[in-house]
Amino acid sequence: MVREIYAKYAGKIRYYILANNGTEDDAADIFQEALIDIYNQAQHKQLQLTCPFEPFLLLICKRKWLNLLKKRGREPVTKDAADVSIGEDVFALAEQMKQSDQRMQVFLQCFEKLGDACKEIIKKCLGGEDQELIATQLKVTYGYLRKKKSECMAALTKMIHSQLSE
Amino acid sequence: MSTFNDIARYAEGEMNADERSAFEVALLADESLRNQLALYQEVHGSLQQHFGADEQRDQLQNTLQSMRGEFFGAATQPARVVPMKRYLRGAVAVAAILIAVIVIWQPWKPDLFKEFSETSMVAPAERGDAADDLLEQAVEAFNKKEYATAATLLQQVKQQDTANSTINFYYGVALLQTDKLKEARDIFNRLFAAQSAFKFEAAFYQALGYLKEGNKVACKEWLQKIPADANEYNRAQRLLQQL
Repeated sequence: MVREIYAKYAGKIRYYILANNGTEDDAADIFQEALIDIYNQAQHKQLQLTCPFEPFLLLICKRKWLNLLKKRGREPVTKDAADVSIGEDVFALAEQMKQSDQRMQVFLQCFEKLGDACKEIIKKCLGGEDQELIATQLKVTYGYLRKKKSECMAALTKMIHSQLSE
Repeated sequence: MSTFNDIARYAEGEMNADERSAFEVALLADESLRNQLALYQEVHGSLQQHFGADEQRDQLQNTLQSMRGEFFGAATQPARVVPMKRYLRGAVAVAAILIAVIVIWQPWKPDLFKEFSETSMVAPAERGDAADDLLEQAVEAFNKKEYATAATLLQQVKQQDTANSTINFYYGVALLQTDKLKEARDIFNRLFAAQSAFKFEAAFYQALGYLKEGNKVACKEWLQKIPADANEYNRAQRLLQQL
């Protein structure tokens, strides 16, 4: 399955990125990241593919690449990927993915601003470990851990809320 | 702050019955409170997904990584054309022949076990309690190829976290490298029998264990258990060819 995706699309992505100031390594990174993103969205955000896969993947890769170029401080030149027609549905889906990605970035930025103790508690509690075990590891009581988790999550959500409503 | 504290306590089940019903009444009347609760749940869910282990995602990542080289070349430098001086050509020809001879003859050719058993352990995410310190030391020893030390350390880590397939797998490899074939075999058997992320890695190293003993038949048998969609498939096929 993965091999098929590589065989079918790697060439096009590679062509596009090499044509736009990238290296082979950049192309491979972008391709990999895009597929993981799509996996995450499909698995956890109920992304459903309502359009053909190929233009969707190309668009995701293209946006990722343009973002990276911007970050590297280079003006993107746009030589387009060959012969793919991009319909409205593709844009809509990519837009949905971009927005949920941006929201996640805000969540994570706010998370990083929390104190170390809160970060550790949230990371562990949401990481799926057993909470009683975590309490033992952190040498606190189970009740205290739960109380702290609520407080930390409250602080985090408050921060995110004000960030999003700016 | 108090609103978000209430929301968190409600969502985490920290409220008593009275507080709970009062909060639910408030929810009905207050749309912005409902939105904030929804945001809380969204943040909770997203971070759970972010920090939680997702074996499927890790597998996908591994598969992608392992195929990357096949479909994308190594980092390319733009080719530079440098005129070659005449007298250099002779020397280059001699060197080329020498290289060709060495490549065909392969005087350094290592034994197959060595060639195929290379692997390195990934450092755990930083968490910093005592158990993780131990794990970190184990990773360091493992990657320095100090397998005896790594095996001792991993055994201790394993005692605290018996079901962890990653630790079990690298413990097995460390045992294999230190010629504790029987113990290694037990571990790989268990990993192979369970639906762990290391199922086929375990099969591959089981095969290498037999190779180390010179039992090529058992080695081949284990290699053939690795299906075409597993990470280890290409390595397994290469080894099969060389046997």
